[in-house]
Amino acid sequence: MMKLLVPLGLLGLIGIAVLILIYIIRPNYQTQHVSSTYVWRLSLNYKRKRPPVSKIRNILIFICQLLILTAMALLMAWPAITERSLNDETDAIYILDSSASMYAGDGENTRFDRALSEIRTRADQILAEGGKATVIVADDAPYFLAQRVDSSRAMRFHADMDALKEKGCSYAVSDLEAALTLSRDVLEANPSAAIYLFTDTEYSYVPERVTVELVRENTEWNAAILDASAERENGYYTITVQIACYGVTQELKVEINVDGANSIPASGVAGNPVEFYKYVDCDDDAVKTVIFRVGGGVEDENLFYYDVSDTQRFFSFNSIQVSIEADDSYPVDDHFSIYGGQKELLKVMYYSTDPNPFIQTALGIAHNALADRYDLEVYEVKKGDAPVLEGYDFYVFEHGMPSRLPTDGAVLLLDPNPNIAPVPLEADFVAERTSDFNGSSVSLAEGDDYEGHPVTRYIVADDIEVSFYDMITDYDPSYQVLLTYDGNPMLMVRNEEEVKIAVMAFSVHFSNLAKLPENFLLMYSIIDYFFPSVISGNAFEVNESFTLNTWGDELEFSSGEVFSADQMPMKFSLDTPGDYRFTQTTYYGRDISVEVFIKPPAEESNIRKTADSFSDPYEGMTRETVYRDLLIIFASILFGLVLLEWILQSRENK
Amino acid sequence: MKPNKLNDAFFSRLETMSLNLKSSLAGYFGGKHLVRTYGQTVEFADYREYQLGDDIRRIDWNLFSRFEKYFLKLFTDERQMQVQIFLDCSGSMGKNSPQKAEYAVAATAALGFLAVQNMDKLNLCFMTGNTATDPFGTIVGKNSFFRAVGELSSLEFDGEADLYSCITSYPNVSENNGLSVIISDFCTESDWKKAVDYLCFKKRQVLLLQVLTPEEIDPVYEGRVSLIDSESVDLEDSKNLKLRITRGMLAAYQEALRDFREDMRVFCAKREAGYITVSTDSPIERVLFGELLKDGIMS
Repeated sequence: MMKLLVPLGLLGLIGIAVLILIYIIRPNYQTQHVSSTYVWRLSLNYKRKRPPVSKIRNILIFICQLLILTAMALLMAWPAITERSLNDETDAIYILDSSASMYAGDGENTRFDRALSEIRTRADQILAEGGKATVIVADDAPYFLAQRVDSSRAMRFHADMDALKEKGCSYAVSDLEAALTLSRDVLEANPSAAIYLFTDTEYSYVPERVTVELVRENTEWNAAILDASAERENGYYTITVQIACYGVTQELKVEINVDGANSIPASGVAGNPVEFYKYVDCDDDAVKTVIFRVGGGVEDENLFYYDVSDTQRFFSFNSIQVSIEADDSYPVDDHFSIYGGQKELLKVMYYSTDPNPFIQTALGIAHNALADRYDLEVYEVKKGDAPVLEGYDFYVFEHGMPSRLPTDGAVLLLDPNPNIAPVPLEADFVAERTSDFNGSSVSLAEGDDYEGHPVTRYIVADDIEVSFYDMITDYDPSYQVLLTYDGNPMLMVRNEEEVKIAVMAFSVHFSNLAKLPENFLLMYSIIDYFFPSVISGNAFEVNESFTLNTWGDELEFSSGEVFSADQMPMKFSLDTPGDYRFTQTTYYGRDISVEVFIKPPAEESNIRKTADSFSDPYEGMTRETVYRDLLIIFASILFGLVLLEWILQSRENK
Repeated sequence: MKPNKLNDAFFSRLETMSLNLKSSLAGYFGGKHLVRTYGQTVEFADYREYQLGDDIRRIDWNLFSRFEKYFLKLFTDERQMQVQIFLDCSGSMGKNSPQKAEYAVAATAALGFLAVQNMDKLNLCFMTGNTATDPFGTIVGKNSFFRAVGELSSLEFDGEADLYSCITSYPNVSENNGLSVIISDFCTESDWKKAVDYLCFKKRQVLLLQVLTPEEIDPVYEGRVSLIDSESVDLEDSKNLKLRITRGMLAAYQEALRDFREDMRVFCAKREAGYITVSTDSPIERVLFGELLKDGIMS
């Protein structure tokens, strides 16, 4: 491509304006005074008739003059063309889009396969010519499959390509910018390297020297389930499904299969399968929302309802399978699973020698706050009855302590007053009633482990005042002290494999806690601390991080992989869409399992997507480029134009 | 306009020259021009028999002794001619080319001097518009002539001149008694040919002296030229021309000029009128001692 080494030379083009100005303002005829024009008038009869070529000639002369001025300006601007870089090596960088949409195909080959095959062919050619080939796989974490390999490493290169073909592309969204950043490593070595991007995304603007090879076919289309969810509404579940069709307009059948509808595991009711479906007209590129609910709703262009009948409605479920029937090019997103229809039953026992509504209210609020995860069932021991020491997940003892600690659940000891009952030995602490307390309220202070602890993360220690408390004089060092007064533990927790105890060393009767939100927050946090969510949701996108927890020693993944309790809580992500199960046995012997659905990225469902552009990988790269000036060529052109203009002028004067 | 050619040296060279006019002209008594009629000069012409009433003093007695018959000895006659010089005083003769006017005035003076030299009557007629004025009247003698020549420096060349109207309206065009000289460039729309015919009808010897400048004979213009005629009233006058002067155009001009001169020459030849065309870059002496001698007007 031609480049002007001295662009300021183009100022010479001003001459064109001057020329035009001259043509405009110049006198058409020069005045000449003569004695008589008589003979001139006679000579007009002698003048031969000439064809009107003079006008054409004048135009040609003018054009010649314009071209002469342009050529002169270009000469001053020093035109040159780019020759090969000083680095004579031929480098080609192939960036392979490995996003999920590259799974789309024509039934025989996916886009990914096509791109891979083309890259292999081109790379072979480059290697045969003595060049170097680089392949960057652009998935969510781009990497070099091959970096500047030459013909000596061709076998290894082909082996890597074979492995990549075997592995296939990712189900994630590609990070093209990161791939381009990687390519700069090669450009640092050879700034003349050419970049070829094999992708299915059409870009409006492509930076110079980057070539986009579009691998999608016009016949490819996709019907997709973009998202699905189920929420309880008036006691029954409403299912919301978002679907779309890309590349074609077509009617889609959205099918719902509910497994274990209206099941009650605690009661041994297994539930029934329920099926229903809805036909939806899908326009090209338009997202439609389909809602399956009891009573239906008012539809519009993009909103469709299915009225779930009395026999189809359900208040619980094991799983919901959402699917669409489509023989499309991208089947990955034709299915969706919804889990979370069964909540874990958490049995709570509350025992107090002097039951008070504050604890009951706190438990009630915790019940509501944890309703999306647990079905909290609270049993309150009647005043005067003996506490129950087994069969519950969470035990709350207030004032009067049990003779021994339960062994099948977590324990909260409130106001372990030794005057009423001795602290069980299993609790591993000693308490005595305060004797030297002056009777006025004092604020609590933060304990050694207060900072960042899950139990006290919402608590403001200074706000809690007590006027009487139980002084814990000795306690097992495995306790974490969260709140103190004058160095004495006021709130401490112990969370070990089979010992989960929380101790609050004061009574709500001798504290302002009952009127503070900390009353409810403490109860919520303690339950959440001892019974954390096994998983932080039921549906995630590919590579989306979620939190895993366990109530037992270990957590087993459906693939057979086992995670120990020491790793918990842990961040986890999955790179393949599908249904997965996590199972565990709690410390107290209960088997718990949770399912999760990993969905492909919704944006990848649009297999005909377009984008504006991407950053220029060559930006800032210093290129040692050799220019070959075109002065001789332009001088020759100028000479030719001047000669032509002279010939035309001479013809004009004949 | 001061004609610098008119000095003593110029006139002294004309002292030996004289106009050679046709002998058929009648003229007036007292001149130096020999005519066909017999007069009282000493130059023998012929004999004839005596007739009753002839002066017996002119009988040649020698012949009587030989033939016994009376023969009279006849002598040639010398007449005074009337030379009229019509000078074109239009703009084309001097407005833009002083040398042309100077040349014309010099030619006028030279011819006038030759006339006066031969004791002829001289009329200097200046043609402007439709009339020819004769401010000096009939000039006889060198004193009158030089007085008139002194006035020529104030001569104005401007406007148009209709040669035909000027000459035909001139009141003193007498018959068969002299030479009429028209000095002009003849680049005019007026019908000068009729004027010549008119003079021929008056049995006058006619001489046309065409004065052209070198630029008119060989113009050097090129390109787009707006030619402003010296006789034009304004820029929009139809006499003005806008031309793209090319080599082809110049060739056409030369051809037109050549034909124009040839037409004049043929026309004059048919009427036994003299025609001389001169360029102002050639010396005036060359016209007088060359062209006029060759043409026989001067001897």
